[in-house]
Amino acid sequence: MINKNIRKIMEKQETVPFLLLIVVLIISMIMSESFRDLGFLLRTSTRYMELGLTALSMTFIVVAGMIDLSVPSVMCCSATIAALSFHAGLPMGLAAGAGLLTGLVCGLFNGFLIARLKLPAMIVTIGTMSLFRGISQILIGDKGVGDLPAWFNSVDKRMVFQAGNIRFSVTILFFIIAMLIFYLVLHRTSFGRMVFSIGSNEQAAIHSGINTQAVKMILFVMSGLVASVAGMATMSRLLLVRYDMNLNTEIEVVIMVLLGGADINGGRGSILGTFIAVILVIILKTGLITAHITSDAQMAVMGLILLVSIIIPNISTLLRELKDK
Amino acid sequence: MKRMTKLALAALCLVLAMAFLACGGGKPAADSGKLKIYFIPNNLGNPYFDALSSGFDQAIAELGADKFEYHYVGPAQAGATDQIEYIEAAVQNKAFAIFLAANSENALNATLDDARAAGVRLYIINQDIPGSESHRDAAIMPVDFNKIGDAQIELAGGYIGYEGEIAILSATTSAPDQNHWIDGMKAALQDPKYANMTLVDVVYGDDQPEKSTTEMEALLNKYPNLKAVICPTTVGIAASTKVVQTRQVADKVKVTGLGLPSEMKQYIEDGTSPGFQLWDPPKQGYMAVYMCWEEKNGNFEPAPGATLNAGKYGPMTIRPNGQIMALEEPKTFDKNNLQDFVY
Repeated sequence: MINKNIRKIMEKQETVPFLLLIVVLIISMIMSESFRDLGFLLRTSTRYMELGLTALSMTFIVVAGMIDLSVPSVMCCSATIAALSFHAGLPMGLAAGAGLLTGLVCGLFNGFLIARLKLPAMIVTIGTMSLFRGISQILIGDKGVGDLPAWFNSVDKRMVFQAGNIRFSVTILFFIIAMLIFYLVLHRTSFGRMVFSIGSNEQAAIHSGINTQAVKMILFVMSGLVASVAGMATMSRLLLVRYDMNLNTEIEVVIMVLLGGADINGGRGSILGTFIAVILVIILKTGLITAHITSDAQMAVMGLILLVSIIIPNISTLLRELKDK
Repeated sequence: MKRMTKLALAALCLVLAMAFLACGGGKPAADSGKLKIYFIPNNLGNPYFDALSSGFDQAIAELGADKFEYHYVGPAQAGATDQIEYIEAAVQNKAFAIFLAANSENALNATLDDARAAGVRLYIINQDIPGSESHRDAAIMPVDFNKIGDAQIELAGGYIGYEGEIAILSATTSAPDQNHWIDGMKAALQDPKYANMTLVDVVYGDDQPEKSTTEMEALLNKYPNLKAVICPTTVGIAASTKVVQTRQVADKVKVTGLGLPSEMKQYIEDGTSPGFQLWDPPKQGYMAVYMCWEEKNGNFEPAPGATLNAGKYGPMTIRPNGQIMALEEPKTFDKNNLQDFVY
C-alpha cells in the first residue's frame, strides 16, 4: 500500500524536479555562505524570469509533441524592431507594440510552416532561429541600440514590495501570474485537453474532431508573442538590444521544460513542473557560480541533473524492461 | 491522498522558505580580512587569459599569499551577456574589486552600475568599453592601441627592406580594434620612409581558421609579387603562416602581425615567420593586484592623473580617459626571445 503510494508520487511529473530542487538548495546553502541570502536569490532570479516565461509557453508546444527553437531569436528580433521603431520617432509605448507585433508575425510564420504546410517543427524552427536573429543582425550589425526612455528601462528593478534587502520585483510577480494563467489554460480548459491529445496521438485527435491545424497555429503564435514580451523585458533590463541577445539559450529553455517532467515526444507535461524546474535551474546556476565552480563543471552538473530527472520517473518501467530481457 | 501530498508539499515549501529566511535574511558573508579580487575573462579555457591570470598570481605571491583571496572565474562561452551572473556572484561574495575582460562594450552597463553601487571597484582589463567609460572605475590597457598601426608597419617594413607589395588579413569587417589598427597602418604608410611599400589589399578571415586560410590562399594567388602579409589577429596569423608553411614560400612572403607566442613558436623556429608582435598579458594581472593593494593601503584612488606604484614596474599614471597602459608600444617576438614566453 505504502509502496504503491510512493510509486504513484514518484511517477508524478512534478515530484522529481521538486526533490531535486530541495537537494540542490541544501547543497548550495552548504557550499556557499553568501548563497544563503534570499535577497540575493530574488535579485538574480529576475534575470532568469525572461527565459522562464518562454519555458511556460514552450511547455504547451512540447506537450503537443513539437518544439520551438526559435524563441530566443524571436526575443532578439522583436526587441530590435521595438528599439529601431523608437529611434525612428515612434513613442516607446507604440514601439513596444511594434515589438510585440513582430513576435506575433514570427509566430504566425512558424505556425504557417508547421501547422499549415506540415513541415517538422524542429527543422523549421532551426531555420527560423537563424533567420530571425539574422534579420536583427542585418538591421543593427554589431552595435547595441539603447538610449530608451527611462520609464521603459530597468523593469527588473521596479519593486512590488521591499523589506530590508528582500526585494520582490515586478518581473517575478509577472512570472508568477503568467504561470497561474498558463496553468489554468493547459490543465483546466478544453483547449488544454486538445493540446494533450494532439501530443499523445495526433491521428486520434483529428478523428475526434479537433482542428489540430488551428491549435498548432495558436500555440506558435502564443510562443512568438510570449517570446516578444520576454524580449521587451530583457531589453529593459540590459538597457539596450544587441543581435546576440540571448544567443544559445534555446537549449536552456528546452531543458527547463524537460526537467519539469514534460515528455519530448508529447502528451505529457506540466506547467507546475516547468515552474519548479525554472527555480531549480536558477538555484543550480547561482549556487554553482557563487561557490566558484568552473563553467565546464557547471555544464556537467546540469547534464547530470537532466538525466536524473528523466531516469527516476521511468525507473520502474526501466527495471521491468531489464528484467524481461 | 492527493490532497494530502499537496498539503505536504506546500508545508515543505513553507518550511524551506522559513529556513532560508532564518539562516539568510541578508546576513553579509563573513569578512575574512583578505583582499578579495575577481578576474572574469571573456571565457575560460583560453590560454591567453590563463597567461593574464598568472600575472595576478605572481603579484599575490610577491605581496603575501595570505593577504589575498583571488578568483579566476568566468563563462564557458564569450557571449555578450554571459558574464552578468559572474559579476553578480562576485558582488554577492563581497569582492573588493572585479577585473573584467568585457565581452560587450555596452550590454553590461546596468550590471556594472549595480556592482559599483554595491561598493565594488569595477575595472575593465585587457581592453576598454568605448562609449561606456562612465560605467567603470578605470581600464587597464595592454598597450597604447594608437601605436599598433605604426609598430606593425615598421616591423613588416624591416623584414622586406621597406619595399614591395603588402596586404592585410584581418578579423571581421566590423572588429573595432582591428579596424582602428588598420587605419593606423594606412596613416603610417603616408610616412616617406615607407614610400616604396604599397598596400594592395585588406581581406577578412572573420577570425575563423578555415576562412582565414582561404583568404590567405586567395591573396597569394591574386598577388604573385606580394612581399608581406600583416595579420593583426591571432587566428589570422596562425592560419596564414600555416598556408605559407604548406606552400613553402616563406622566403618570398613574410607573414607577421599580432600572434600568441605559444601558437607561433613552431613557425618562428622553422623560419616560416620572421617575427610578430603582442603585448605582455601577465603584466596586466600584476598591475591589477597592485591597484587593489595600493588602494587598500590608502596610496591609490582610480582617478585620471593618479599614480600607481606597480611593484617591480614602478610608477604608472592613469591617463585622462581613465586608461592605464601596461605597455607603451607592442613587444616584438622572434627567435631570439620566444622561448621565454609560455602564453
